[in-house]
This record gives sequence, structure tokens and C-alpha cells, in this order.
Amino acid sequence: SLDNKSASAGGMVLWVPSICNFCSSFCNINVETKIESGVRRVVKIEGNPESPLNRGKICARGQAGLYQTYDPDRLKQPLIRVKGSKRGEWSFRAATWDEAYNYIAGKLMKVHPWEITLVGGWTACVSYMHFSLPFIRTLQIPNIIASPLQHCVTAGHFGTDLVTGNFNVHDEILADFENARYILFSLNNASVAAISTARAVRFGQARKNGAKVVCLDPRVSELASKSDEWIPVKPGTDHAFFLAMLHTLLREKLYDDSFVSRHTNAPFLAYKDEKGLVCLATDKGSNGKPSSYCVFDQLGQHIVAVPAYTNTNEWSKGKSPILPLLHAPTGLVWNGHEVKTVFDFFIEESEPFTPEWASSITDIDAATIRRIAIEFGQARPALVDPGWMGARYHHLIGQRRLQAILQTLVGGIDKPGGWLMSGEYHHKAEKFRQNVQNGKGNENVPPVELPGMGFAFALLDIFGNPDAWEHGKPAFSFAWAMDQQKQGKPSVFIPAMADVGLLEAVRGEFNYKGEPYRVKAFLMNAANPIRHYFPAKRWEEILSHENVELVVAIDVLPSDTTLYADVILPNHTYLERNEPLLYPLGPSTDLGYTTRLRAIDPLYNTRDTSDMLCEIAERMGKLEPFLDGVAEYAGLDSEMLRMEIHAAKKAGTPLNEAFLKSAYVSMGKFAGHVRGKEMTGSEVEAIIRKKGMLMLRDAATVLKESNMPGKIPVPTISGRLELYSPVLASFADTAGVQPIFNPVLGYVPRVVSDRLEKPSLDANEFYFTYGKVPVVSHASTNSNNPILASVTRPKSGAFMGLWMNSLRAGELGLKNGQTVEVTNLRYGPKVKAILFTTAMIRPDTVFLPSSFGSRSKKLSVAGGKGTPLNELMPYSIEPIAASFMSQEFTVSVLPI
Amino acid sequence: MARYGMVIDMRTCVGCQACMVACATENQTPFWSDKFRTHVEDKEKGVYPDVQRILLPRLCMHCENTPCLSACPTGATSITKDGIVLVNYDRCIGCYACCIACPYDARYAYESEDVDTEKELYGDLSTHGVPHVDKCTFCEHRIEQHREPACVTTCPTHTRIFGDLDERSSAVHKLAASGKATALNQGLGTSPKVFYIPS
Repeated sequence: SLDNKSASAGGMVLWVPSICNFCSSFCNINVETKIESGVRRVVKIEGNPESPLNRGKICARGQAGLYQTYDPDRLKQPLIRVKGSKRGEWSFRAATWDEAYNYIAGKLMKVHPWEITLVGGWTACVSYMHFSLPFIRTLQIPNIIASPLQHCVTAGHFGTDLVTGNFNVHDEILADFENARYILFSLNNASVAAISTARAVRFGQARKNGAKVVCLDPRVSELASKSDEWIPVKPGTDHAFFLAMLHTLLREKLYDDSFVSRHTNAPFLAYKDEKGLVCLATDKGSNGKPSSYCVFDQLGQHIVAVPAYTNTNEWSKGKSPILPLLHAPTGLVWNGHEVKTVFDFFIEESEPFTPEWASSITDIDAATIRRIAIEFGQARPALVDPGWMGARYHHLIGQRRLQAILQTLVGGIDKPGGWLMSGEYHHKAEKFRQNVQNGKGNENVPPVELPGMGFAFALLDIFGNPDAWEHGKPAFSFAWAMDQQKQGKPSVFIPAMADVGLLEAVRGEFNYKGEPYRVKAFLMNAANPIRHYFPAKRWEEILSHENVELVVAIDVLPSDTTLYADVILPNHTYLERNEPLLYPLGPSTDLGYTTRLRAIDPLYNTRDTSDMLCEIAERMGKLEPFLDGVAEYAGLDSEMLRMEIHAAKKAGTPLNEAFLKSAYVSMGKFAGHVRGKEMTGSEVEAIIRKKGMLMLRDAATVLKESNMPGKIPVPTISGRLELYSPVLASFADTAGVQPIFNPVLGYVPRVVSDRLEKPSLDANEFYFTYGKVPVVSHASTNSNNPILASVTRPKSGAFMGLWMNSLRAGELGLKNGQTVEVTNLRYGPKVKAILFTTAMIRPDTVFLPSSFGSRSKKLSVAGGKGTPLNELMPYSIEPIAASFMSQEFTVSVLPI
Repeated sequence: MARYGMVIDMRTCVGCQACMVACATENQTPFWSDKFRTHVEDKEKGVYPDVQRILLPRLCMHCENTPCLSACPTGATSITKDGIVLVNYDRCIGCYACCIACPYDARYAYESEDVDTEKELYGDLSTHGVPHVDKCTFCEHRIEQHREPACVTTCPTHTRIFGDLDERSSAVHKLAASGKATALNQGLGTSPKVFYIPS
């Protein structure tokens, strides 16, 4: 590896370790700087070879990062909208920081705390959660809208989370491609080939190792082009494909019998209640939660209670060794109910989902489906990619859950060649288990320190719980959901950090417990909801509404959303700032911590988000409790933090460095806890400066010592991998037994039209699909990067155009490169696109790259280029987590 | 003395363009004029559903039998002792004979407008300075520092493998010798030192 300093023609080179900020993958980078005309500048970015995550590699976006810092379009000073102008017009005047902060605080003091909402993008999510949560708790603001959820990862991850218990700041599972022999992809080009470097490095190695790769995709995506078998599935029908795989695996008995009976809830006994809902045979404790589950023990040939929260079914509640059966004897009765195992119910309910049935839906041969299922079941280790983004169809949560079930059936959880959980997540789960074992409980653990679903439930208990707030109001999204439910209207079970009800709250159209619930102020951090959320019109109306009294945007570039701000607080770019805390190594299985270090001094009059939040809290008279909250959430010493902040304020230096200094010290103590030898804060800092990360435990040790579920429980309700989903059962209990809430198996067809499902599409009618390309993150301002724009141009057809099958285009008289009008046939909106005709897509499908189409004229490279996907979209959400159903319509394509 | 070469494993290239951006930032090539020393071709072959997407990384082949060198009237193009084909910026008169002679279309003109933009962007750190014909150098300056070419270092899927073709223990030697990796357009007799493993 390189020395940090080396002489070169351009003067002294200094390499500074940092973390990429061009997607949420958290790849470690090294930033090369040189001195030019007496000023240090960034000349190059490379992957950090010390990183177990991206292994010294970094994608095009990560390489191009310096051109964001040197982008002439940047936000260079605080701005306040000129009096008399309208939001969206971009009429701003320069302001001092003091003026901007006072303006914001003045407005915030005039509204009720519940009338404020934070809006956060991925930076806010992965780097600033330890600030946002204490900020809202301190100021009694019950609202956060988190951009990575509704339009991206809720649907992508929640389904797998239901089975594995994972739910985290980085709940992406790291698929161990390189040790797998068989890899199956569905609905995911984005996180492997288009591109998360952490995954691409593993995928590339898998190809070299000769793993068989099968890819379900209606078009030859970058990933499909690297598969041994491309399956051009009909859009939105992968769910049926997986149901047929499950049907086949169960009937061919191609599952890992011992893993499934030990570590999942498959052997749990269950019965059908009078509503037809499958319920687990459990004893309930005094808190209403299960105190034990029942299995049928092969050794004793009788029903045995097993502990409520543990990782294995090898021991009865009375601590005797047992051998739970996957199939219950017929006629078994428990508490007057006829019971079978969960596994029996899976066999029973999967009966209709034959490969022939799936073939009629997916447009794939039954023989192919059957063969792939058998290959998958026979090749160990086999891996079904867990997926990433997923806000596309009603059934996506169900489909991702099914993928997790398949992965569980072949025993591939937390094992080489399977799904690996992150080092940090293992650590939290281990701590959680110790607290349970010691009888200490986890009630006082801050939500961010709880593992997996524990974190999710703790968040629900904050945002969805009126009693968690002094003013008695939950988040507007939950208030809206409760109100809808009361009125018997369509609602959402967990609208966590979602925007449901927001438009109504802004318009003044909804009440909570008989009182108006309004939203009047927005604090947005690195969020671009006009582009990320659907449709664009909705957020344009929200932000420009006369009832809204304050819109603050913290950002680095004039995105489509910053146009609607009253106050713009310009942020440092990631190369100009130290981050205020240390962070786990993304989804890496190793336990290690990293941060961003400033590579160059800020070019402009910009500041860090943590400084901004402190300033706002201070002007609201709440700085001290906010700091205490950050200390609690981030595990810092609050006395030390106060002292450091005080010293920084006195010296006029950035506050984020005071946080980071405290974080180094806490990390030194934490290292002692993990490795038995404490470090000083300066020792931690020195290692971070040299290597970019502090490694505490390598992946092999993590997997050996805290294997989940091999050694410790997964953070599901039962601690086992949950094939049967008690969470879905609770929804079904409220909303009725419908396939989407079926805790066993349910098929939910995608609906693309309000007309009764027709046998075929009209002559000019296509299924609509969209996705990411490797050079831009979804709808991000990084499309304004001149070098990324340049590498896009030679491939602008494939990277920016509307993909249509050449033969279909010919039939419609359409030509490659021509401008067309795309009409959403279900909801009405139209957009323009440039046609890309190709043989690489199904004839009944069009595909649109999602990353372009900014309307911001202030973005000199990106503005007006490409098709704004967000303008074609409806506001259409599914009932579990309010994620968008962004592909449930068809389009027509006409020449202009 | 080495004989540097590259093997491109087409089984893993996903066309992410990281190599293009790595090269452009490392070597200050004129991305602002859409000119690159390396790029990834993206082609399709066949008819639906029997269709293939072919992602083909391209760069200078650093031929041993070098048409560009033969075409150069001023001696601006030369081959180093390590087999790297280079252009001397000061001796190049911009006649483009080499660009026409190269069967791999691996050269382009770094024009005076590009030099101006380079100066604006990089100031004293500019490395080109005068108009000339530009091409891949295998990042010779990095090799001197015992670092791999920028495109190789960054490639997320390990598509590009670099090393000394004469060094029997090197991965490039083994792949080229095994016949798994073969050169493009072998019939031209140019003896390229870039080899491809087909996907």
C-alpha cells in the first residue's frame, strides 16, 4: 500500500481516506490531493485497498466525485428567497449564516413542533441518523420523511427483513457471490452491475470462479449481459416464478432439512382460526407476547414447548434435547385446535403454484422454471440475490420475502456462499442477546443501537405512538393512517417516515382526534423529493403551497427541490468535510469503523449539517438537550461532548470536529470492549488517518463467533428465521385474510390497468419498466457531473433513451433516436423521450433509465437533459409500508 | 526490462465506465470534448430472444509490430524498453498519420482548445500543455511508482489484469500463454499486447 505522502511532479501528494457519497453503499476511498498555486486541491479518487467492502475499487461515480466539489454550479453561500418571489422561481439573495439561522428559528418558533417535518436523503440516513433522531426528539418534531424508504428500499428490504430480522441503517444483506456456485437474480440490476462497487467486486469474482448466473429481467441489463442464462420474464411476474420454485423445491425435497428444522419456525405447530388465518400454537406471557412455541418432538413423539426467543429448536423449554419434526402426524391436536407444522402449511398452500401455473403468468417455459428450481436446490451453496430497490409492485414485499424463504430453505443464511449480515448488525444482536440473558432488558437502549427488527419496532414506537410525544401527536403519516382506518378507507400499516397524508396536512384537509393536523415547515437535508418521490407535481404543490411557511434546503447543488426553498444552507461536499462521527463499514461482514476526513479546505462559505442542526437547536433554546441526545444515540461521553462543543464555539471552529473528537474517544473505549484493550482517542484517530478505518473483528471471526442463527438468535420476534410471518399475520388479523397479508404464502398479481385484466395489450401498449444505469444514482444531482455526462454521451441511447424492441418499433413506424411521447395509460401523465430501439428487450415492454430529466436550469449540465421519470408516475402506494407502485401501469408510445 | 501487457476478462465487464473516468482523471484527458484513451463498446448481436449484449473494453493494444510508429514522420511515437508505445508531446506535429494508421482507433487529437480547458481545470498541475496526438500510456508514470494503471486499479469487476507478459509467474503471462486470452484482429500481424478472454 501507498505511503500517505509521496513526492511527485505536481508537488507533495497527500492521500486522505474518506467514504464515497455517490450512493448509499459507503465504499471506502482514498482522495489524492496536490498543491496548486499554494492551494491544496483534489486530483484523483481511488478505492481504499484496506476496505473489506470495496477492496480498493471504485465505480465511475466514485471516480468522478472531485468534479462535484469543483462544480461551478455549487451552492456557495447561504441564500434567502427574495420577498415577493414565489417558490420554484429561483429568486434568492445572499445572506449571512446568522441571518439564515435567525430566519429559520423565527419561523420555526411560530409553528407547533408537529407542524414541522424533516426530509432526509441517503446522506441524512446513513450518516446523520444520530443527529436527526435526537434533533426531532429534543424539539418534539414527530415527523421525518426519509427518502431512501418509500421510493427505494422499504419494499426492497422489508420482505427479506420479515424472514431474517434484518432492518438497519444498512440492512442491505451482503450476498457472498464469490463463494456461491449458483446465483439467481430478479429485479435487480442496480446494486450489482449498475452499480454498487461492494457487490460488483464480489460478482466479478463469482464469474471468474465459474458460478452459474441466472438473471430474470425483461431486458438485457448490464447484469443480464453477464449471466449464463438470461430469462426474459414478463415484467412484474417474478413473484409467480419464485412461488413455482418454492413449489418445486418442497416437492423435490431439495431443502436443507437439518437447518430448516433447527433454525427456522418451520417446525412450529400452527392451526387455522375461524377466519381462515394460520396462527402459531403459542403460550402468551403476561405482556401478550409469545412465551413459548410448540413443536412435535420425534424423540418423545409428543408436543413440546420450545423457548420464545432463541436461535435453535434443539432444546425444549425445559432444556431437554429434542428433534423437532418438519411434518406433524395427522390428527394432532393442541388446545382443541387441529395443528400442523408451519412447513406442512407451506406445502399445502404452495400446491397450486406449479411451474405450469407460473408459466402462464411469467411467459417462461414450465420446464425451464422446474429446471432452475432443481438446479438451485442441488447446487450448494446456492444464492438468490436479495435485491435492493423495490418500490415497483404491490407484491414486492411478498416477493422479496419469498426470496428470503428460498435462501433459508437451502440453508444459506450467514454462511459462505449465502447471505451475510453486517459486522455491526452481528454486534448489536449479540449485545441484545446478552441483555436478555442477563435479565437487563433492552428498554433503555436507544433505537439506533437495537438490532434489526428491534430498531424498526422502536422507531414505530416513536413515530406511531402519540404517547411518545409531549403534545400527544404521532407522525402525520401515522395520524393519517389511523384516520383512514377509522373511516374504513385504504390505509397503510407502517407508514414509517413516509409522505402519506402530507398533501392533506399541507392543504389543511385532515384532522387528528378532532383537531387539525397541519404541516407548515420543512427542513430538508440532502433530499430531493421532487425528483425522488412520485409524482413530481405532488411535491411541487406541497412545497409551493401558501400554507407552508418555511422550506429549508441543506444541499451542495441547486437540485430541482432547492428551487422551492425559502432558505438554502449550503453544505460542504463530502471531500471538504470531516464527518462528525464514526460509522460501521456499511454492509461489510467485518466489524470495523470509518469516517470521512476532510481532503481539502472548503472552497466556499459552506458548513456541515451537524453544525447547522446545533445552530438551529441553540436558537430554539435546546442546544444542551440536543447534545445530550446525540451523545446518547451515538454513544459519546456527554460531559466531554459539551466541553468540546464549548471549546469549538469559543475558538470559532466547526462543531462537527468536536463531535468527531468525542467519537474517537468513545471508539477507543468500544475497541477495548470488543478486543480487550482500550485505545486512546488519538490512537483511534491515527489509525483512521492512516488506513481509513479501524478494524475490530474480521468477517471470519464474526461469522464464527456470532453466527446468526447458528450461534445467536436473529432479531425476529422468535429469534429464528421466520418462514411464517407473525408480522404479516398481525396485519391479516386487522385487515382480513388477503393474499398480500398471508403469513404463509399468497400470490398477488401486479395490476397494470383499472380495466378488467385483458388477455393481451393493445397494438400501441407496453408494460413500463425503469431502472438505474451505472453512471448516475437514481434521480440524483450527480447527473450534473461533467465527466459522468461525458462517459454517458457515447451510450446515450442505452443510458438515457426509452428502450423498445426494434421489431415492435418497426411495426409502429418508429425509428431509433426519434423523439416520442410516452403516455401513462392508467393515470394520464405524458413525458417525452428519445427512442432507443434494440433487440435486447421483450417486445411487450419498454424501459426508461431513471436517473435523468432534471428541470433545474441552475444545473448547467443536467438541467433539461433526459426524461423526467418522476413526471410519468402516479401517486400509488401499497398497503404495508406505503412504498410506490411505480410500474403498475402501461404506456403508449407515439411519434412527436 | 519488462514486456507489459493487459488481459481483459470479458466474462466480468459490466460496462460501468469506471475505467474511463479513472483514466480521464488520472491522465487529464479531454473528457470535455468526449475524448478518452479507453472506452467500453456496448453492442448487441442477434435477434430477440437470442440476443447478446457485448461489452468490449478498448484501449491502445501497445502492439509489438507498430503501425502508428511506422507512420510517424517525426519520431514522436516510440516504444519504451518495457514495450509501452508512447507519444512525445513536443515532437508531435499533429499530422494524424498515426491516427489513420492505427487499426484499433486508439488515438485522438489533444487539440489547442483542449489544452486551454486543461489549463483552466488543472492550472499548474496540467500535464499535457501543448496540442498533440494522445493515447494510452499504460499509466507509465504509475508503473514507475509500482502502481497498476488507473483503469486496472479501479475496475470493480476485475476485468482488467495487468503485468509483465515475460514474467512466467504473472497472471497475464499465464492467461496469454494458455490461449484462454487472445488478441484482437490477429490477422493484421500487429502483435498486440492486450488480450481478451471472451465472455
